[in-house]
Amino acid sequence: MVVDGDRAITARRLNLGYSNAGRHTAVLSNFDFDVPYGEFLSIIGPSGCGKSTLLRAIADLLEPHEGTLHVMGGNPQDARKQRLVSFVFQDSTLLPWRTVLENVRLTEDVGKITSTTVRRDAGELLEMLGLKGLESRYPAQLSGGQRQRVAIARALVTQPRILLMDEPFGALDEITRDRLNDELLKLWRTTGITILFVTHSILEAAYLAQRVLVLGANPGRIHAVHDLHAMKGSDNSCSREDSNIISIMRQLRSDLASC
Amino acid sequence: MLRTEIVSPWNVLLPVAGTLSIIAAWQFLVPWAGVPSYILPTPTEIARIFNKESALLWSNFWPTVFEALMGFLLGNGLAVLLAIVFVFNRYLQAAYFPVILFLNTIPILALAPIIILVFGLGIMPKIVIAAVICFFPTLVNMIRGLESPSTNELELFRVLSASRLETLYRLRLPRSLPFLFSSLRIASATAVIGAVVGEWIGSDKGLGAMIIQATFNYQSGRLYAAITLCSALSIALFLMVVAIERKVLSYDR
Repeated sequence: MVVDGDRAITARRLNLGYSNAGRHTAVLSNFDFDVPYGEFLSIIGPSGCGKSTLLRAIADLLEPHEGTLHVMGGNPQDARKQRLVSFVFQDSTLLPWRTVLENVRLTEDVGKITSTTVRRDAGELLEMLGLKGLESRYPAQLSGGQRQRVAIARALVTQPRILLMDEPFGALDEITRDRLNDELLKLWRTTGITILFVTHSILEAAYLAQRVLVLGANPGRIHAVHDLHAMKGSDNSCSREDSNIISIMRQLRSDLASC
Repeated sequence: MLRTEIVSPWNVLLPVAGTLSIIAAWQFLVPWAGVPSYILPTPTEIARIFNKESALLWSNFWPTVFEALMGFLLGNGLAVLLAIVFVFNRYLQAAYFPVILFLNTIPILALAPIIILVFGLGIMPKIVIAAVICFFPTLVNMIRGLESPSTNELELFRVLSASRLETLYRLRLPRSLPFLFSSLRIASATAVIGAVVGEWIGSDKGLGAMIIQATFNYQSGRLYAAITLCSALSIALFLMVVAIERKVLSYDR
């Protein structure tokens, strides 16, 4: 029996993987973890450790092989249908034939929007993400950073409770990445949304999160968890040059070397 | 940007100069080399036919235009519909795509008499032949186009709980358009070939019929005029496709 309480995500004895021609390949096995409401969680680990697989299961893109996975107190399918979960991919996945505004409004054009879905004003979101004036541009006319901002605006328009981000800034240059990290933190503070952020960058993982989950590979498992709540305070703020952050980064690096 | 500005006049001038040089060579070198005009009339002789026999030429031009256009619309339209059915139902695709692949190996010239047997001698068999010849490349390209959305795009639509119809309408169809237009460009020429082949086999009007009659009667001026019109029709259809493509796919430029 799983009691979710204040948990946005609960996983018990979760076994995730891919089935092909009756054969199951486990990616994550016997996986127990919880994410409280409103937490900013970074997930880091070597390739093949199941970071993306975990996000995909939470988004109901992959069915768990075994175990239970609760998302906002229900099963992942219900959470998806109620638009409680949004996904931001590494490539912005903007539709090239739609303008910025039309891309953000895609979430309103497809799928059934239940009456309980609270929608944010797309224009307001674009303004918040510094995209004002670009509404009628096509994705081909935007920079990589702008495209990813549009993808984030699109993910937020239905006011999800959980935002899943799979290396969203992985393809951006460092300056843009730093700027988007700060904007994301600001957004997280104002919305109170739960964020699961998969990254390959140790700095990004340490700088953004209240908790860092380090996954090990072969088989995918939890290798270490670093709780940064005490260090960063309730508003989850710190400086990139902070000695604590640097020491966390050192730990993460040694975790990754040993997992 | 700067480079394009310098190069662009040449992009127009060079092909025009190339074409003019060939026409000039045709006009002056061919008679000089002793090629008789019943084998290869000069451009001015062909132009004279256009002037003298314009009523006859136009009366044969329009039926071919109609057949090629109708065949183009029918063949491509059916190909698009069948591609959608195949992408929606993989079992149907697995069962029937190989059959279509096999049918496509039958040369159109071998198939044409059967089509005429079935549809008679009217305008219909020409439309059907033009449609058949357009059908296969568009079917193949359209299936590829409908299957071209990336995994992330399909997953995005799934996260948004989009229905299959919404995914088709909002993602697969727009994604398939560049593929569709590249086959429509090819079909703009093959539709004319189909109509002309249909007219060869059984017709007394249209450019194809005119080509056959002119050949047998050694009316080479008329023959070349008909060929010129066939080519002009293909070019017109091609330009029409390109114009629509530019408008529809303007977001990519």
